[in-house]
Amino acid sequence: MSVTGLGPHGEHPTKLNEVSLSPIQSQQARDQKFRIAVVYHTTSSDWSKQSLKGLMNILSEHDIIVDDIIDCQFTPQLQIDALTTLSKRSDIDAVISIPIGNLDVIDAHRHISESGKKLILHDSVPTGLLPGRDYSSFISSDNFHIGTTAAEILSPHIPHKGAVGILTFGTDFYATNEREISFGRWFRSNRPDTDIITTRFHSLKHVKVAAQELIENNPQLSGIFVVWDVPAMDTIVVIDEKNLNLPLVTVDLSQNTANALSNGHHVIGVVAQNPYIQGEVVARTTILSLLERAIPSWIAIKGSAVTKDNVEDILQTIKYDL
Amino acid sequence: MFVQNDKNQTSKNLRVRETYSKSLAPGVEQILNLLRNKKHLTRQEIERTCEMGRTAVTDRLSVLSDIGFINEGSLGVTTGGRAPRLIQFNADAGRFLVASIEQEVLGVGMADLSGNLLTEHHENIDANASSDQIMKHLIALFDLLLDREVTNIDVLGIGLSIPGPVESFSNSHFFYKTPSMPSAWADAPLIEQLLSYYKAPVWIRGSVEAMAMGQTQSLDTFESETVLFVKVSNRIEASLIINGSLYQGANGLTGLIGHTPVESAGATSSLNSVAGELMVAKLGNDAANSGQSKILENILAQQANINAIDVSNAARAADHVAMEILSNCGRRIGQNIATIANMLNPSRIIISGSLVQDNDILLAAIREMIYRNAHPLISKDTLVEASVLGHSAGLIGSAAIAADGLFEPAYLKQWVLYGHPANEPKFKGLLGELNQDNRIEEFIVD
Repeated sequence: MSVTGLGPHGEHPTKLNEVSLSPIQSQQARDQKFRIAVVYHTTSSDWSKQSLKGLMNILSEHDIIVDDIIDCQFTPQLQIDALTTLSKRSDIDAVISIPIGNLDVIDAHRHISESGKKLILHDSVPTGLLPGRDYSSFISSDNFHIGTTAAEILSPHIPHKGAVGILTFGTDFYATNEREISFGRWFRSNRPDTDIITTRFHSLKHVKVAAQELIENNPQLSGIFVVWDVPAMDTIVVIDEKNLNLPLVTVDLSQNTANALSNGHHVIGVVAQNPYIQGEVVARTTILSLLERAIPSWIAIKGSAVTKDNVEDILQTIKYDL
Repeated sequence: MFVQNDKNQTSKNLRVRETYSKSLAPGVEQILNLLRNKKHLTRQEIERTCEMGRTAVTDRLSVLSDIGFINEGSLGVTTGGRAPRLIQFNADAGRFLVASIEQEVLGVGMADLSGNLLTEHHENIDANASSDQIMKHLIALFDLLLDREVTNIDVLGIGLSIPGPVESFSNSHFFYKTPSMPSAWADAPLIEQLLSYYKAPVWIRGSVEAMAMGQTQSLDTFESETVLFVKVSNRIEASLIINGSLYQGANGLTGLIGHTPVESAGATSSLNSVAGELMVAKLGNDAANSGQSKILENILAQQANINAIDVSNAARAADHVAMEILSNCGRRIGQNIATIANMLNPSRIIISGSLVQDNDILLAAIREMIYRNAHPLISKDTLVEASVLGHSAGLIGSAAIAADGLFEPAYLKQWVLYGHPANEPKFKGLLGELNQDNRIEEFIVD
């Protein structure tokens, strides 16, 4: 499985195995006693917990102090406040951030790099921030490939001249944009007989309303792709309420999606990211950046197709301890 | 199949301003362009700069306000009496759709009317894809960008960049048909389709020119800089920006520096063939096959061929053979740029392309040869740096080109009183002609 997407500025990807620390670099990092802060969109999802676990594992190995882990609860203003505070602190060497939204949070992120701190971005880059100038590196899954894989899983369940739904995030967010675009591109290229119907939700509070709208307005739907697991579980509730049998594919192998997949509860496939590995790569990249080493502008990590047949194996592979 | 999109046909745009068009309000375009270039101005400052009376300025501002192109914002500094209200250009009154179509990468984005990129997306495209396939996918992506907007927006223009020099039309303010050059698009109704579908004027430029425009726009000092922009890919091309303006030569055929003959192994070849990405990839494959480079050998074991990016990644991992490949190619490129620098005395030389994306080896070799071979009085003040914009440069440049085209004074005067270029009678006539174009009908039916 190769990486097929491009970075937020059209960058070619660097694979995760090309980012490593030599024993000398590891020792240099331990000697420096770096101090960093982590600003995540949420810390409560299974994905975030695993990502943080991988991150903390590598950082603690290198005696790096994680001064703060901030949960922004998907609220841009919380992130702006957090980053503004961090940019004024002289004892922080680097900030790892998952940006929420796009243009809303651009200045707050820019303040971090302008204050002389290293900024490592994870999963999204606000439009206008540039590698090497505004941030050091960007780490994400190959989300384009994730969308393509989701389409391949769902396609056999869509009859000829059927309709497929996409329930996606209305906010401009790199990871979900890539998944949506590649899912649609795959269907247009490989299943031109299929109608693609897209509905967007702008916050997690509105997922059920958006799912109801998608399903009620389009009774011809034969399957749905939901761009990550948390809204997917809300969508399953809506499908159950309507007493429908609608195949669903989503992204991220959480406890809930793994259970739904195993039990055949609407979920017929999941494209699993590797959040633990991603967290480790984010940590290594941050260390290399702090040591002033040349680092790639985009590091991409492949996802895995998960079906009922391999869900237990994949759970072991991606180090989930659900 | 895609569905005809009428998002840009808001009620505002459909109002034809007969009362204004009778007087054609001279000075409207002057005031609008003045406000575009300044953050905000008071009425008195506008009167003074445009040398217009208070009544005329008030009338023109009323027109612009009705159309939605200006806002009255915060209070300015008082010089005695009431503080004046500041007037500013409303960059959110519409949007530009922009695209950068490279040989293997398609980039799309949306920009505000000041040319600021608001969103962007880039993806690989099949090098063998037909122009018709690329065009359909481009429209699907544009539709997706529009669909993502919470409110309906007006598309006031489309900016495109495509590989190679582009034939320009001297008899129109925008492109009304697909130019015959470059030939790859000669048989595809790209411009016609976009005009007809989005009901907005289209501007198109060669990709290196657009990237140079984009790169220069991102500099705070762009209006006073002479920038030589060099893109290194399969072909090595350049573009020159002088004081913020693109140098286009006699026929627009500038910057083809990759065609410069160079000596190599006792024979004469072009710079493209001895230092472009294809040569980097060839040397990388040779090093992998011969076992000279263990890193490249390992990469080749996992894939069919080594490409230039693989060589660049290996060089970043301190592979000596890969580093030497990039250095040699960089020196050849730098030697040529030094010659150009001696002639042009640029303030800044910006190198772009995947090979300078993530490491400094190619850039260092180019810089070495420029500093060694350019005249010391030139090289001592010339900055040689890598572009950090990547493919975004093409989108930013396309937005700048669309903004320049839309607000070009003569064209602005032609459409501004109608509120939208599509409402202007000549454009309506063009749309009527395009409705008779069978190629477009066939495309939509597909």
